[in-house]
Amino acid sequence: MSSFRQIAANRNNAKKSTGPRSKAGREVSGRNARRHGLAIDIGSDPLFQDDIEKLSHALSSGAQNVRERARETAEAELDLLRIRKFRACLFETLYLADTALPDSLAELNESLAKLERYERRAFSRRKRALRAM
Amino acid sequence: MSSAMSEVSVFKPTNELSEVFGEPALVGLEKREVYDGFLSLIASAIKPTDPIGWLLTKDVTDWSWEIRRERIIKVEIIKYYQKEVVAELIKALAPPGQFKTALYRIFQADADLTLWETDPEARIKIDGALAAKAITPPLSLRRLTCEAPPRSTRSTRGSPPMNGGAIPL
Repeated sequence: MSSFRQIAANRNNAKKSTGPRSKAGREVSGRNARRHGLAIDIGSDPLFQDDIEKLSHALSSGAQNVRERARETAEAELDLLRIRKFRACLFETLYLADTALPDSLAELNESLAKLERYERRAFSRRKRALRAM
Repeated sequence: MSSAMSEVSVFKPTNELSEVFGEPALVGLEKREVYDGFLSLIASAIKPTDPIGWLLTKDVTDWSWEIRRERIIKVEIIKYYQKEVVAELIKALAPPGQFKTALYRIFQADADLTLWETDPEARIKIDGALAAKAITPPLSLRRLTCEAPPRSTRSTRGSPPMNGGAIPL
């Protein structure tokens, strides 16, 4: 197990090396989340606020003590639904569309693998929140 | 399936949950009513009693739906590449002579390929003709099409009965 001194040193080093430094680099990395929108925190997206409220209310049945966990569950659930829709779009554009080429199968495969990472994280978030409820 | 669906039509999420779930993630020719029926069937087995139960029911339904979709796509991809390999092999059936070979490749090869694809009897004949010329599809393709690879006496002696050398799909 790392000592407190080691942990502090790691944190200091991480601050020195994390992320791009130049303005251009920061602009590029700032756009990462907007490529497909899945990296954007769903809880801060106004489009999903109504659904999050509805689902968290249904999950908590109005009980105040589990309200926060219910909201976390609702956010993770809506994230999962959003990912499923995005996956359907990928199949639609890269496999079923008339413009899809045999080569696009590789692209589809790669995109599905990336999507799986987001899905795994959303599942873990929902599982944690449900256990804590 | 329709009678089974009518029996389980009571298993629907509440309106509030339906609104949150929104439109299901369907692709191509997949139909909403078929999906809804599928969800009802799974719900009738799970019998969800609260919203959490419904979230899990929705998971199972969507996963099963996606698995079904991907299996169909897998078969399509296998058939596509299988056809490409056979299209190349079938050119070897051209009669001798430069002119006749060219004619066969231009006018007859595609028709033979279609026959191979659609008519099981023609397929046996074409496979036989290819085998007579000592042309066999690559091992990977034989496995995909569940055909037994030619076995040597040495490897089969004393070995347990195999599933025709095929990989279960």
